[in-house]
Amino acid sequence: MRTLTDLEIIESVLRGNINDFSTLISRYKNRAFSLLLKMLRNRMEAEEALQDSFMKAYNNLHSFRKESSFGTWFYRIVYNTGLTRLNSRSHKAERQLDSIEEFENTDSFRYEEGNGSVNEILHELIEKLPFNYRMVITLYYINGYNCAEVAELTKNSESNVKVILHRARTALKDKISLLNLEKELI
Amino acid sequence: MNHLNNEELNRLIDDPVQSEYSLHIKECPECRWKLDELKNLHAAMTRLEPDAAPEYFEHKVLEAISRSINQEFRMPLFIKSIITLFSLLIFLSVGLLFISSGSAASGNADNYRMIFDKYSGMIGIAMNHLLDSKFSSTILLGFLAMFTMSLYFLFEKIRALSK
Repeated sequence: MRTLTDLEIIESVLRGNINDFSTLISRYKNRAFSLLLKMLRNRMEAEEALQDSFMKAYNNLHSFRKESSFGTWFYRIVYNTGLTRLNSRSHKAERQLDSIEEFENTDSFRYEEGNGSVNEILHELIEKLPFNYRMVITLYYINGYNCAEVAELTKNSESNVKVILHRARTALKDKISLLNLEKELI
Repeated sequence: MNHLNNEELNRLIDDPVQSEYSLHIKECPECRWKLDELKNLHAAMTRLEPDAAPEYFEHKVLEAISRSINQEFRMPLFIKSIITLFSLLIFLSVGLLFISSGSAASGNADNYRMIFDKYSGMIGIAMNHLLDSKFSSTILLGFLAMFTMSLYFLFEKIRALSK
């Protein structure tokens, strides 16, 4: 059976077949959840924000212009939803404390052999990166954005995004070396 | 020999055919080793699976959507009921007035006027007794709001019919 494209699903949902929206949810929920989890670093809050994002997407589906892919359009909603939550007072303080020195000096991450898959360890390490680093890394590697798209979304210049991506990659590699995880991870 | 810095090594990941650095990489084992490590990390990151969203999440979202749609429909129905009741009240009042004045021709005018005056007088006295001026103004405001809503409803109805 032929898999329906995102556009075909959207047209069907707009015709009133609400249940077809679940196919779109299945396609994008994990990547969107990853982005929110990296932004908010709180599972419960990420789940709430994910539901908000899908509700916003559903309510604004008629305004989706089809110039970009649904994914790009939807992740923008997700990013902005996460950002709104992040800008609440409680998170502002947390964000100010975010720094690369903190990441480099952190000893909160302890690896024991057999303790988590490569995937889990990498996610945990990314979560400990400073906000800008983990956003660029997540959007680039998990959400499949290119540098220009990350720049547009995060309101940064493309060259700046490339620098952040390079620094984030180096910081991750250094952390992996420091924890002697080269064999396990890379 | 000057080694490549992290930025230059990273640029080689994004664009592996950067000739200005490729010669150095060929000749320098230390930089080659660092580059290989970065390449391996890049490859591992490309294979990275996203975090798993909660199970049955689709169901949860669809339920929330259905709830919001139901709420959307419930609210206008509630407003419509009030407006319908209010319109009925106006209709009956106007009808009573019409009967009392229109029946003048039939010769029963005094009878109807008397009934109308009697009942409206009774309602007036009851209102004066039960409600002080503060309450009366609240009720007046309530009627004004209902009247505005009636106009809005009428406007929406005309707009819907003209589509």
